[in-house]
Amino acid sequence: MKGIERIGYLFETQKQLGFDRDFLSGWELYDTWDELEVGRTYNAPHDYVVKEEDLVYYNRALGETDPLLIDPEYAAQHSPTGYVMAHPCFLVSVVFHCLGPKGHGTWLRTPAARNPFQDIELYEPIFVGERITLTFTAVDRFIRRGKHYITNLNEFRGSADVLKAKWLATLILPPTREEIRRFVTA
Amino acid sequence: MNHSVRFRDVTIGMELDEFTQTISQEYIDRYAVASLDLNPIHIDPEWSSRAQTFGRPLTVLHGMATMSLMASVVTRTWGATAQIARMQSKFTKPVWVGQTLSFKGAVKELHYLSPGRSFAVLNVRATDSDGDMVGFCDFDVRLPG
Repeated sequence: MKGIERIGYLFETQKQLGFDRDFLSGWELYDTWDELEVGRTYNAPHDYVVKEEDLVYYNRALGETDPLLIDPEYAAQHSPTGYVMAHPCFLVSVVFHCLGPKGHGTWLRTPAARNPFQDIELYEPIFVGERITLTFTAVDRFIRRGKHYITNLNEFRGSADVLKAKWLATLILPPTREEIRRFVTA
Repeated sequence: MNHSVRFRDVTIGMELDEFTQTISQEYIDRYAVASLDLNPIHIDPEWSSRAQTFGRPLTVLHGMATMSLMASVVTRTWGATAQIARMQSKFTKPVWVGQTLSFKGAVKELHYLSPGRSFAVLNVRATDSDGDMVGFCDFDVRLPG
């Protein structure tokens, strides 16, 4: 059974249930390292409307037990926002949701991509109910010790276009589509 | 958990609460769904055994899960309301399924700015069952007075 079928029972939230799950299909159209255009900014095709179920699922998956992070009833009484609080790294799910399976930024879904280092600046907390938009720009692609890196600047904006966070996201990728094919068909 | 830590109470070298997390396949699966990072390198043991992306026939934990757990060292010690302003992480070794990760952290720097803007830099390290470091992260955390 493919991994994505094996874990089907875990999908609960509206976004999870609607997400295009199979990273091994459609790879022929993914952006690749050798074709990537540095310096061009794109708007992600999807926005992210934050729901409490999104935050609760992320926090529970990590194993958090603080009721401010996992208990909506407790949070309603004690949280500064009136809702459960977002984990500092919650933005990762925002990125995957906003980019989707086609178009620019799909290199993020590349099978065999590796994560070497990350740099995230948080300016404003994330609130339940707000709509987050994502723009992304490939700011560098480079070769270091034989590995092919890409660094992407993700900018997250909330209501009234307020900048909420910047994330310099770096990944190591297979450099060409042929290399991706080799992994996909392993 | 200390929800009321203040800048004046923090000292260089102050240690954060340690914890461990066993990385089962179910743990990886749940994080994959939570993050929507459904790369087969994480969730597909059969594919991973053939592709051996990291040189072993095993799935690996997401780097962002390791980073999230390192951030949890901060929020579990200083509370979920701790104001993390910046996180800079580096991953130094893959985390294969079946490992148990240990997380520990300490205050590395104190930056004395205006009230409400002063911040501490916390360094958190993650090690695996072999005692090898798998990643580290510096957190800038703003603290009241």
